[in-house]
Order: sequence, then C-alpha cells, then structure tokens
Amino acid sequence: MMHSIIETRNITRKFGKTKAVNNLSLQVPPGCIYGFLGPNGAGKTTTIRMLLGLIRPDAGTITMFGRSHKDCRMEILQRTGSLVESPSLYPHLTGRENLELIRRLTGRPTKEINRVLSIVGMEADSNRLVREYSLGMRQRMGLAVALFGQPELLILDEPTNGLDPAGIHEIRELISRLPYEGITVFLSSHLLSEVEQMATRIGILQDGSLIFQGSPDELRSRFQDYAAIITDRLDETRQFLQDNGWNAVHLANHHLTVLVNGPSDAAMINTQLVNAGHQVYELSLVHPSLEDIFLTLTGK
Amino acid sequence: MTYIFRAISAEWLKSKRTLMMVLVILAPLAMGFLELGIGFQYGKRMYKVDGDSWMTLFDHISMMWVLLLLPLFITLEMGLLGALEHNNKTWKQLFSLPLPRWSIYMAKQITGTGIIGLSMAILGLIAIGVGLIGRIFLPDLGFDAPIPWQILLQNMAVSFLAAWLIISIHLFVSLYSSSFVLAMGVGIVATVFGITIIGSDFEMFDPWTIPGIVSNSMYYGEPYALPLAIGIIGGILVACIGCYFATHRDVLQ
Repeated sequence: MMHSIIETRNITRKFGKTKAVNNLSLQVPPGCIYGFLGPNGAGKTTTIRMLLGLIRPDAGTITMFGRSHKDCRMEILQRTGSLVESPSLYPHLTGRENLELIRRLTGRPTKEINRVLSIVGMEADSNRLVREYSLGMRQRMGLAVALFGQPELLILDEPTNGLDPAGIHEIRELISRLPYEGITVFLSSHLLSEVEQMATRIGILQDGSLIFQGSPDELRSRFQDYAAIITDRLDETRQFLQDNGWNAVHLANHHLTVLVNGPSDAAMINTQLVNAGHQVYELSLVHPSLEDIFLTLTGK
Repeated sequence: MTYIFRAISAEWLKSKRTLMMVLVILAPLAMGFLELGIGFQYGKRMYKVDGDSWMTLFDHISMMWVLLLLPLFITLEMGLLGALEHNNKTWKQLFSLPLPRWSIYMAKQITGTGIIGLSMAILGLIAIGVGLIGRIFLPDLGFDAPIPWQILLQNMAVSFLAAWLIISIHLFVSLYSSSFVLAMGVGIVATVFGITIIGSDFEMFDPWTIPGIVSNSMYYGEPYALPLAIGIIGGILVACIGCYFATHRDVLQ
C-alpha cells in the first residue's frame, strides 16, 4: 500500500556554499492539498524543482507514487502536472496551440485540449494569441497545461502570483475542487492566507529546513489563545496582571496581550481589572490565525 | 524514436509565426537579389560569353553564401531557436514532461538542421531563378545553356552537410546560454575569423570555413572528403555532447 504520494528523505541541495534545502523530509498523503509554505528564499522552488527532476539533490532520496525518482523519472512525470512560478507559454501561439504543443509532446488524444480548457474556463479565449492574455488568463492557461493528461499529482508553485483578488479567488476555487477528482495537490506559497482555506496538510519551510509538518489543526493547537486588552493605564495594567500571575504579558500596538486558556480566563482577567479600578475599554479573546502562527514561526 | 517524432512535431508548431521561418525565405532571397543586382551592373565583366555562365553564377552565389551569409544565418537561426525557450522560460515545462531530455535536444538539432537545409534548397531554386532572369533580360551572358542541375544539387548537398558542425556548435551555445548577445557574438567573431584564415594552412581546423572549403573544392574538382567528414562527424559528435549536457544539467530557469 502506498502511504505517501511524495516522500522525501533528508534531501539537501547546495548552491555554492549555501544550503538552499537542508535535510528535508516531506510526506504528502494521497488526496490532500498540501500547503508548502515559507518566506521568499526559504527553498520552496528548489524543492519543487527537485520533485520534478529539474535539479538533482546533493543528498537524500525522493520517492513519488512509491517509486524512486532516480529510477522512474518518466513514470512519475507521466502522473504529475506542474506549474512552476510563472506559466511557461509561447506568447506567439494561441492558447489552444500551446496545449496542442503539450499534446504532441505527451502523445495524448486531442479531446484532452477541450477537457482542460473547460476546467479552467478558457474555451472562449483559446484561439487568441497568448501575448494578448491578461495575467489571470495566462495563469489559468498555465493550470490547463498542468492539468493536461489527467495527472494524479499537481505541483503548483505560487499559482496566484501577480493575480488580483478576483483571480486569486477563482484559482483557489479551482484548486479546492481538484481533490474531489482524485488529484493530490502540492501547493507552495509564501502567503499562508492563500492556502489556509484549502490546505488539509501544511509544511513550513524556513532557511531550507522544515520547521513544521502536519494538519492545520495541529499547527493551531501549538499556539495558545490570547486576550487583547485596552485600558486607561496600559503600563500599570501590565504590572498589575504580572503581579497576579498572568504570563507573557506584553505591550504591543497600544494594547496588552495576555496568554489565556479560553474564555473563562478572559472573564477572570476582566473581573480582576475592574475590581482593581482599571477602566477596561476593550477586551477580546483572540484565536491566532494560521497567518499569525506562520509569521511567528518564520519570524518574517 | 516516438519521442523524437513527437518533439520534432512540437518544434515545428513552435516555429509558427516566428522570425525564424521568415528568415528561411528572406536570407536566400536577399542573396538572390544581391546577385541579380551584381549581374545587371557587372554582368558582362563577370560572365564570359564563351564560359559556363551557370557555373560562374553558382560558384559566385555559393561562395558568398557559404563563407559569409551561411555562418551568420546559422548563428541567427540557432540563436532564435534557443531564445524561443529562454525568453519564455519554458525549459522547466519542457523538462517536466514525461519524455527524455535528450529527445527534446535532438528535436531542436533536427529542426535547426532542417531549417538550414530548407533555406539552402530555396537558395538553389533562387539561383536557378536568377539565371533564368538573366536568360530573359541579359541574353548575351550565356544563360541559354542547359541548367546544370546535378552540379547545383551536389554543391548544395555537400555544403549543407559540411555545415552540420557549425549548426551543432551554434545550437549548443544558444541552448546553454540564455544570452542572445553571446550567441550572436560567437557567430560574428567566428565568421570574421573564418574569412581571414581561409586559404591558410589552418583553414580546415576552423569549423566556420569548412562549408566554403568543401564548396570551393567541389567546383574546382579538388578532393573534399576530409573537410566534409569533419563537418558531418563533428556535427554529430557535438550534437551528442549537447544531448548529454541536456540530460544532466540543472534547469534553474
């Protein structure tokens, strides 16, 4: 039985003296949307290029679909679609001609062109030259190329780069539908907000090393809720709370944040402050978003 | 083999609406117009009434073509063939597809060689056209003699085969460097250098002079098997080296 669609073991890749990817071990289960996150320069694109066989790791092994990448490159690529950074399209050809080119190279049937055009909603514009396309249209056409040949795994590197909010929403909707069609999606991004709503599994990369891998819930569970408080005397309030045994109290952006264990703690803080004569203007319980967690983890 | 056919078919589709295909006709046409202009201006001096005007015409056209225009034309065509991928950052897409990398390189090699072959075939037809125009408008120049098809075909064929080495070198340079300027620079410098050393003892060691040596030797009945072999075998060898590098290189673009 195959446990992971992608499994890397301690892969490392250096460029000169810099380790772009360092001892990376990923496990991507079938049927998931794997959000591969990290700030710019963390090593995401290098990892993706290694998964696609565009560059070789200096150390470690890559297994995809249960097969070694080193020995079964062709078979793996047959089952994989990709969009790395910007879409690779020939601007002097029409969208349909670009797909015809992929069809010729892969030896797939002609009807595959119409299938992928309809998935990305580009049938009407398929006979226009790519150079006349907007950024969003190019991106959708790039996805059409990635979806060509009904891949079981889709590797997408920053697929919403440069898109407007409507375009981002459109691509997100499209990607969210893919697991229902049996496609596993490996999606890299430097924005957690972009993958937060789609990813069923997350890997966070920083300086070439994986600092977290698991479900979004596991990630959230590692970070405590906090109460954000605004009072008439912030410094005195902070001192008062510290004296009463509340941890990790600090001042930020004109409010105090206090780590709590749920709403009862927040209510208790409120009572203590009011009883001590502090005027509480605002007290809210905050569940840290994945974005907050991501920023905390990566320090960016 | 299927992979190569697929990749060649894709290469031809890619060349649609490109300057590359326009030049295939334009370059030999320019050569024809140049020769026509020279013919009208200096025809009586160039073509002896008692000489073989067709041979003079072919010799003249092929010398200008193989020594000057062909190397520059190959430089430009191979540069454009590489730029098609570099400019659109399509290497990553091509090499992520389920076909061997060498087949993509080989398809480019065959396409590039085909483009040059096609342009030389067109040049042959244009040379005939120039002679036929001469026959009509300059009846004194001796073009009413039968067209020496065999010599023309033979010359075009051997010049083309001798050019394989330059084609392979330029393709290698243009596919490995994303700089169009570098690809052009190599071609221009090598062409000029080739012209300066032709006739010297070292001429056969310069790939850019080989088509000229072969063409010239053929017209004057001198042996040309060695330079022709260098052109063909060298071309195949460089193409194989290119395939090896294509298979093993990192794709960072």
